[in-house]
Amino acid sequence: MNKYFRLDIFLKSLLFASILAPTYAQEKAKDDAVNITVEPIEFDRIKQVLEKDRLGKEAETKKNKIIKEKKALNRKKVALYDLPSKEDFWSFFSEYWIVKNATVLKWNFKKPEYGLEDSFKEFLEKLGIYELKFKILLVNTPDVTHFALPSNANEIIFLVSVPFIRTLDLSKLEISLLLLEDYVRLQKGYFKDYASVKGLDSFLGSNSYEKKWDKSLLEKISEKYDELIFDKGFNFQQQYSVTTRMNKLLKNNIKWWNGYYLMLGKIDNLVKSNILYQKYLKIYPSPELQKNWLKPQNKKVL
Amino acid sequence: MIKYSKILFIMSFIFFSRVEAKEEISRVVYFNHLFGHVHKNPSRYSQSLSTIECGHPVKIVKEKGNEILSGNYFKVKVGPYLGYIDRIYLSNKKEKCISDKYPKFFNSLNLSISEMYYWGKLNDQYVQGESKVQ
Repeated sequence: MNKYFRLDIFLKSLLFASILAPTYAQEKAKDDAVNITVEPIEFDRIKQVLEKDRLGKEAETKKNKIIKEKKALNRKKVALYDLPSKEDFWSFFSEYWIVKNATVLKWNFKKPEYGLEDSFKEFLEKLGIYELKFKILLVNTPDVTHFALPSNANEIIFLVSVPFIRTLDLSKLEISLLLLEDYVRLQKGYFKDYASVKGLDSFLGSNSYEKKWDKSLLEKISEKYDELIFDKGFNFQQQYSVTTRMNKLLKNNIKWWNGYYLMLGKIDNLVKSNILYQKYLKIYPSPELQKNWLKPQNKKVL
Repeated sequence: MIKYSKILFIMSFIFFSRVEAKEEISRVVYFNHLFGHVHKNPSRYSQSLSTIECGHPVKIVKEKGNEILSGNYFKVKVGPYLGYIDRIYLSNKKEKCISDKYPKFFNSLNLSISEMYYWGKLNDQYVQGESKVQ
């Protein structure tokens, strides 16, 4: 009996202790909280110490440096996707077209030395056309007789047919006059205007980072080159404008003017007699009319 | 005995003159056009040993202390090839061609090997010049 009585007292005291324990813990926690609020961390003081040590400034410069480096890296990454500028595009594209049409144009052959490098340079300088870089590509086909392709500023790429030169037995001066006519035509912007397809303006000088550029654009420009060079050529109005410009450029030198007039006569005879060059009239209409435009007009005196 | 010493002298002369004529590298320059060729002989129509790209390092060869220039062509060493390149296509500094300025655009053209070869040939085939102020 006594044994049961002791157990009862033990259980009751255990129950009492379990009731009191949480309230004691709560009180203790409250006391601790009070202690924390008594000693607050003075952030302002720490900040001041850091400022005195210039650690904050250093951290700031480091942060700025990292931001700058990241920006520069990003700029470099984006720059990889730059698309050709207006200044770089045309010479590149003309050469690209020449390479793509190597088998049609037949330019990879051993050429006769006409000495055009010096004769055309001298001719340009006598005319007063300075600081013009020229590249002349002789082609071994009658399909393209002579042409100037769009190029970058102060540069020009010419195509000249060796069979055409041989058939007409052109002199160095006549070849230079032919190239000058092509130069004038190119200066007037007819080719670039024709080849500038829709979307080219927004393409040139833009960037293709995280977006795709329209690759069909180059094919479209290439088709325009084909059309103009092999089929369509220039119209009468354009030819008239070119011929009158040539007249102005050459009329101070009677030898050159005569040479141009006689050369047009040679070409006129050729295109009328040789079936290989009948297409010439479609591209450059027409040598006969050009000769008439060059003739001084007789004004009737009333 | 005199006869043998004469032979020995002639042989040593031939040997040393050959050693002296040995070709060495003079300097390194860079190819400055989009594509081009290392030619077997100093002529634009000569066989191509290799097609090279813009910025490719080219070692100019010298003999007896002088760089070898045949007409406009420098004797050069490019990789394993010993050949000739026109001097107008070589620069002391690396130049930025269109392939360097617009790399992603240029790669997207997917030029074939034969197109690169033709582009190099195109540079060989041009008659080039520039009018200057007199």
